[in-house]
Amino acid sequence: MCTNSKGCKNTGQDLRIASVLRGKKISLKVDGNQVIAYEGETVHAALTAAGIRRLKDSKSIDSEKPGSRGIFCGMGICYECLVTIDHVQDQRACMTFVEDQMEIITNES
Amino acid sequence: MKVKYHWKAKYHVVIVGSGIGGISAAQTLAGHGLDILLIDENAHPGGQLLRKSETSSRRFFNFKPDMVKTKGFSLIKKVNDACSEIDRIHQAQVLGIFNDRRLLIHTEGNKNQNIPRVKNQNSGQVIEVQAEHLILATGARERYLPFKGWTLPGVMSLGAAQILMKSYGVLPAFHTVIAGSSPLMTVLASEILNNKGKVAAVLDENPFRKKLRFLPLIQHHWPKLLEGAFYTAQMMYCRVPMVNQTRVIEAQGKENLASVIVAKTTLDGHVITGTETKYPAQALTVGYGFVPNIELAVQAGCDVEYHTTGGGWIVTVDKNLESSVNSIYAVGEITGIAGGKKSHIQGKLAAISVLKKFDKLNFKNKRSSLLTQVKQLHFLNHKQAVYAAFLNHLCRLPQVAYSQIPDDTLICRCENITMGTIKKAIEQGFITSGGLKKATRCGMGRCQGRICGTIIFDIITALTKKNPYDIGPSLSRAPVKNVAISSFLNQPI
Repeated sequence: MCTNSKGCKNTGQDLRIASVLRGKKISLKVDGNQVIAYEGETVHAALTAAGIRRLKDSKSIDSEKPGSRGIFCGMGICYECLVTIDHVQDQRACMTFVEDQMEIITNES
Repeated sequence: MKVKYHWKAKYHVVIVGSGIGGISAAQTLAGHGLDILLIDENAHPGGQLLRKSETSSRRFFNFKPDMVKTKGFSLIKKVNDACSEIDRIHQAQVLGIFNDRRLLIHTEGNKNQNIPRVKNQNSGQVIEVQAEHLILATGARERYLPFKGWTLPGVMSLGAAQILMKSYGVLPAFHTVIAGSSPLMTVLASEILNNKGKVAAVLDENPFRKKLRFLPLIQHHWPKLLEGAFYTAQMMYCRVPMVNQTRVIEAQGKENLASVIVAKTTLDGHVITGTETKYPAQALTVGYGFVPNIELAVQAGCDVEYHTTGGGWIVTVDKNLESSVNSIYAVGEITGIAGGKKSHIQGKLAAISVLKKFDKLNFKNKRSSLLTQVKQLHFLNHKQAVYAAFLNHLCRLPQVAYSQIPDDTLICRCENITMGTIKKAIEQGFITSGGLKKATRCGMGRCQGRICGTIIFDIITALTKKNPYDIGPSLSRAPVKNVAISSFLNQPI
């Protein structure tokens, strides 16, 4: 999944580095769509590889424009990558490892 | 469901953080008959520095003249081998430290033991552990300079991009712009190029002149300089545009990042209007140096002090690395940003201080050789200050970079507080970190000021020219990290 047609030479491929040895191929359900992942990856790595960058909308009380958010710190401190995982809300995508048939919902209000 | 628990209620030594400082302490402590617990937020030991994925081939020869990482990976192996003596809790966060070094720890619990996740029940649980001696090795995070649109998905820290590649083998995007003032920029560029990704540009805040001025400071760290030169040559070979004295002024895109607007700056750090350039990219990585993670130490009551050469507020320690609180030690980046080498040395020194307290280092003991190392370690520890001064000065931005942030730019990402709101509150007299927090809610969101705290400190400093001690560090209270109420109810069986 690449939105920029000019920059996407290897069509059909994701952002995974080919030379890296990976775990077992598994399948996630992201917002109802099937997404491929590999054991040992975090949710945020699998979503990035699949081109899914928008993970939530900012929910602050005073905010006029909520604005979409995605991975920022990547190490569990910024809480910008919160998604719903297996019906549990506000899980950090960067700190949770993928499991087969995991259900992920982005931007659940 | 019955879960097997691996931890005890009481330990001789608890180490928080299994980065290079934490594992260095653990490895030194092992073999003396002490009960040791190592707690870490990540699934694997090694912290932020020691991350690597299994690869089969590389585009470029892997050039690593600096031995710190090699040493670090062998330490991980040693700690793994000493598993009978060192208990470990991974994917856990310490929520607070209370009287007599009682730690409240949130753990994912069942996930640790590789037992399949129970749907709807993964909030983990909170446990209590007591430490006779406590070593804090909580590491550092990155420093940022906010700009319009820095909240767009696709804009991330340099570290986030490195984690994606090194731990999970995923490129941050097909085209990545790298910006900031951190030495991590060239490292990241090299990693992207090694893995057949594209670097749209490397944009350095620093004027070339500033970098040259700091060269004498790096004298004893020539491998780092050599590494930098190698990365630069690699970027030139791959025709990556490298621009000095350039600042990101806007990230554009509808829902995701689509392009980055940058502008040249004057030598003293003012943006020069009319010099804007646009780079199309799906990822923009930014980093402006490092901030020590002192939250837990502050919550525990440890004294802190301010040093620009140490990356800001750091934990005060004596020469045995003991903090102002009895039997709480601090090692690594939280005693001053200086990289892995210092963490390695300090981890060892703190461990030796603890071993002395347990009277484990006498001449009958075959590992008494540790005592003879102390002098040398103190010398090496002191020597790291030179590199620390270089690193922290190189990353440091001029004050105008903070005072001239446009009013509509978001500063606190969690609570959506703009520069305009913060400036207004400062004008009204809220000129301490604590006061500004109460006046505007900045730093009160989920990250608890971990992202915006230092930015706000730098904004107050730039606008009021006040002394750091008048502004003060942000306070931390337990729980220092987000935790679900339900996890307090999930008691161990």
